[in-house]
Amino acid sequence: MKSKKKVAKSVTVALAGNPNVGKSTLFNTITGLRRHTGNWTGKTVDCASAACRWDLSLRLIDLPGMYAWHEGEQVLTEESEALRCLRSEHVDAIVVVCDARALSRNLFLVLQLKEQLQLPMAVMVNLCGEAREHGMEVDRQALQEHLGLPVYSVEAYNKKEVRALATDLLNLPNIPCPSVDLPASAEQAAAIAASVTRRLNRQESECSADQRERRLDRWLTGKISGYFTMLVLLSGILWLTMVGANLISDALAAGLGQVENGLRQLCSACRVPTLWQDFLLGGVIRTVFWVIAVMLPPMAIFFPLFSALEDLGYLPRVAFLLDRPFARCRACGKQALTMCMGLGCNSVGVMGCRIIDSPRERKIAMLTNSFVPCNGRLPTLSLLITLFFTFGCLDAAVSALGLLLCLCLSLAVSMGTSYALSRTLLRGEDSSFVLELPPYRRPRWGQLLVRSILDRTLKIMLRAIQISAPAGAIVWGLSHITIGGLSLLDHLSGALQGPGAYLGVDGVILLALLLSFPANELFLPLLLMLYRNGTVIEPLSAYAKLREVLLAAGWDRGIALCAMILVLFHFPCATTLSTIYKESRSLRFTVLSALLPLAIGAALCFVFFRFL
Amino acid sequence: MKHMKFMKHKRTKYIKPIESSESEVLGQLAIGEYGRLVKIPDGHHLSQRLRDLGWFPGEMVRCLYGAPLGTLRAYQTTGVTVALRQDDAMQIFIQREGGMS
Repeated sequence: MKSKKKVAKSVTVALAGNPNVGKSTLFNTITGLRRHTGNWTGKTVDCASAACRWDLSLRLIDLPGMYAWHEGEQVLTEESEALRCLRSEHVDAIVVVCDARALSRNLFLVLQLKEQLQLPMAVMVNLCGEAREHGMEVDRQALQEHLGLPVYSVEAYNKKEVRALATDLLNLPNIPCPSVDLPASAEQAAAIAASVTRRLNRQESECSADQRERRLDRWLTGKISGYFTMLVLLSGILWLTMVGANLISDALAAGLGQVENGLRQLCSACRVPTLWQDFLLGGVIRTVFWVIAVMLPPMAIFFPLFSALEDLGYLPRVAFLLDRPFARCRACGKQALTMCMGLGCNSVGVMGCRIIDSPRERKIAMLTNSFVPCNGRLPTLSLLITLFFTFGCLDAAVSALGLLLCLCLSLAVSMGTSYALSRTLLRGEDSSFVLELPPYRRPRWGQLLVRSILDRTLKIMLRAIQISAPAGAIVWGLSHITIGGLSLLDHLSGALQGPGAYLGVDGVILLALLLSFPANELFLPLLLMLYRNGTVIEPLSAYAKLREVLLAAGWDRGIALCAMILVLFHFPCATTLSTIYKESRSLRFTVLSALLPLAIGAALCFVFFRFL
Repeated sequence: MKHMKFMKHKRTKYIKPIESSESEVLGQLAIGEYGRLVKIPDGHHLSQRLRDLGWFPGEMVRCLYGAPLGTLRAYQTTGVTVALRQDDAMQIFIQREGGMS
């Protein structure tokens, strides 16, 4: 009875604030969700809402970062998204999250929101610890008096402190709306910030933390050291991924093989008809297991490492280093950031393009995002490299090098395409842009590991079951329905044999590409199923068996290379295309974004096959 | 005259030359030098964005370092480090200062 009453008068609190102050981190701590966070401006570009994990009557909305309240003026995409959220959702109160190190510009937003929205408000000063390291301290009490608003000083990832804050937030709507007595001007904000911020060490103009940051910056953005570190970090991550993935993959394959045997025995014990047994075990279950065994390990290693770089604040430095090449292609350095997000998932990468201000450059970034191999394609590439391009020694290192080359190829093609696009379809001026370089922050390893492994693992498992199960069923069906003595599969792949011949691949590869349209993870399992006519894909086992299957189908290095090129450059998956449509609201643009990579992939394969 | 090099490949976007009468521009700061913001022209693409970031007249700016390739340079004001292309930095008026006040 009581809980019902509680739910009825639920309180909705929106988290607003400048970019990269820790809104999403606070949101995660309060709701227990795992929204992606990262130490750079523009990581969160959409809204999310969820209930507090300690008290269900508290609902939180996480807004993308906004610098200031601009109405009707030319606004950033993420800012307008935040405003749209604030308007369309019912919001009882607002918490403005502030960065203790950049209080003046944060307070400007506080004053503006106070003036614009007649809502109860509170201010949360985050990152006080970091500010203290840099010799600054914020006087909470004084700030509270200046603003006439409740002010909390909490570390966003500290569960205990945040829990206390959450209980206070429930009472927030009862606090009367703030009176507008302070002018919402930047000068006012700066004055308040100056009066509540205290310098801890007056003698030194720059404390050791600042100096450390500068030293790191000098190294990471240096002429030689910058690019060198970038290469070393990337290849190191890839190498670790390859080494670790091989180990885990084998163990996982063995384990899942056992499970499959167990299931088979169970089925025979329950006298399931052979056809059904074949369908379920040979078609559905095996595809699912395959996706898990091949795709999961590389992801479980690659992403924690990559997120660590992200938390450190390294990615904007990459954009800083790569701005020149991108500017040469008349695109924007921030495209490097969206490409990095594309490594995780192209659909997220396309959405991340909101951080690019100029519409022209944003379109270019969206069109070229699918050139970056996403987490569904990276394992496929790594497996093909391991199978066909290693020589029995230093396997992991060689395949890491191969993967690095793949990534370089995709970067080069992205840049080339950007150049071509800005000369033809998307002509226009270069825009100016501001790139924020966030302070370095130590990655919180424990949380990072738990978050990325659990999060990814759970997601991949679900996705595997959702998408690969029906796909496995369809392929099994296709191979068992025969028309004129040939199965449907044979008809289809026969029809694709013609175009395949021009590209140096066979019809089956093209068919697998087409069928993996719902999710790129499916390509390799489908390919194997197609080669084995749906009935028997080899039970999960060592890579050597796989190689045999592919060799028996007439594969050699040339075909493998063409297949890899096609995996890198073909139409984006269904999810990405729908995101592109949502973001651009243009059918023509969406079709273009599907055809462009396909055309490039076909052209590359054709050239490679004919002339090399 | 290192900065003159950057002037050469100024793109067609801003044809108007900079009236370099009394005040200097941000792009002229050498690495490690300080300057006080005087004015960000209103019509500038970035004027709104920079104001949002806390770049107001009177604010102290320090040129931290430049990108190894290209014209991006990192500038530090209180609490925020941003990178600007030289083209844009050439549009922002400052007054050179000896050191941190």
